[in-house]
Amino acid sequence: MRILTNSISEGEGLRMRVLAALAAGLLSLSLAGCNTSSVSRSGPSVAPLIAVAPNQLVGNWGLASFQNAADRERTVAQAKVACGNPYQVGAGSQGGVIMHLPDQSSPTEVFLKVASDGQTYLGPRGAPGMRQDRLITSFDGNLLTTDWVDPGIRSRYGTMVLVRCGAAA
Amino acid sequence: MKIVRLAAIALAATTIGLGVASGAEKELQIQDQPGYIPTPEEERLPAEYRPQPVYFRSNEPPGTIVVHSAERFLYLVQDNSHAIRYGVGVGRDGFQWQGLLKVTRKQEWPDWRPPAEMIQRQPYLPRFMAGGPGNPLGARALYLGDTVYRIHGTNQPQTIGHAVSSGCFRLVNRDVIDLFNRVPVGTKVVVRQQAKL
Repeated sequence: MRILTNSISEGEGLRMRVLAALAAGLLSLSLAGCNTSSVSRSGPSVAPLIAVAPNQLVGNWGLASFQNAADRERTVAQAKVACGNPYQVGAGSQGGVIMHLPDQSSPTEVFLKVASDGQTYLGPRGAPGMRQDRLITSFDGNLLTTDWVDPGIRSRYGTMVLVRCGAAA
Repeated sequence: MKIVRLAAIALAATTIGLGVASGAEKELQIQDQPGYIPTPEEERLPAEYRPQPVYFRSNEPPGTIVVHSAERFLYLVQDNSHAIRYGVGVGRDGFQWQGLLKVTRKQEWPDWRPPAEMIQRQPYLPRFMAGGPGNPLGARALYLGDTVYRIHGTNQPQTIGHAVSSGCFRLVNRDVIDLFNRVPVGTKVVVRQQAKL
């Protein structure tokens, strides 16, 4: 009886360990899914050269642009002024953020995408570096600069400068 | 600056369209196209709008700029009977004005700020675009007095000869560069909006 009891107990323990392992596996898969829903990476994990999380982009931004590097500083200053009429970035329902594609008057959900060379792009689902993407050229939490991938769009708008509204100067 | 006097604002809204053929039938419905860079072919104006010496009777001193909004021409007075004439785009209905001002500032590749209603339509537009090719204010700007009005270039050469602006006068970039190089700060600018019957 006792042996039987022990035997049953060991069997249950084994089953519980298997179930626990399965649950842990499912949990880790689920977490991985959350992670990759907002930041898609091409190929095996590549460390982004510029780390950005979607939630860091959500909020109000002053938006300005420049063509010549010499104009960068005063463009940043003007972007701060532009917080009087801010550009709003919303949180997407699928882990991305709500922003505009080039020349589209309605916003759409875009995603952070890391290319195999570590460059981070922001754009619709698909391979990093698509024509509708923008390349993130710098980000420090409060200042974001991007260049459109499409050369035609880039030559029209130049480098986009976004300064977080309400950030400490 | 003391002699600056800005007379009637928004005359065009009340004038009756007669005389110049460039009235209502030539109205062009077009929005600003920030970032658009025109081709050299697009910048080639019809003959009448290209810079040219013309006979022009005037009592204004040489070097004065005289804008005839109804004609869509800007004259740079050479002497009392001659001027260099440039084709311009002028203020649309309700945005034309007349008066006497002076050039208070000259700016190469001026910055541009889209108007609020444009941002509303195109929320993705930068609220400030540093000067450069494709900027709607073009290659040069002459600021008039302390007003919001300017004589400036454009990236929309097709608007020359039309009433499309918010009161500024626009020339194609090549022409505004030419004018810019000919006039100093302090230049007298006379804007005439001929009353029509």
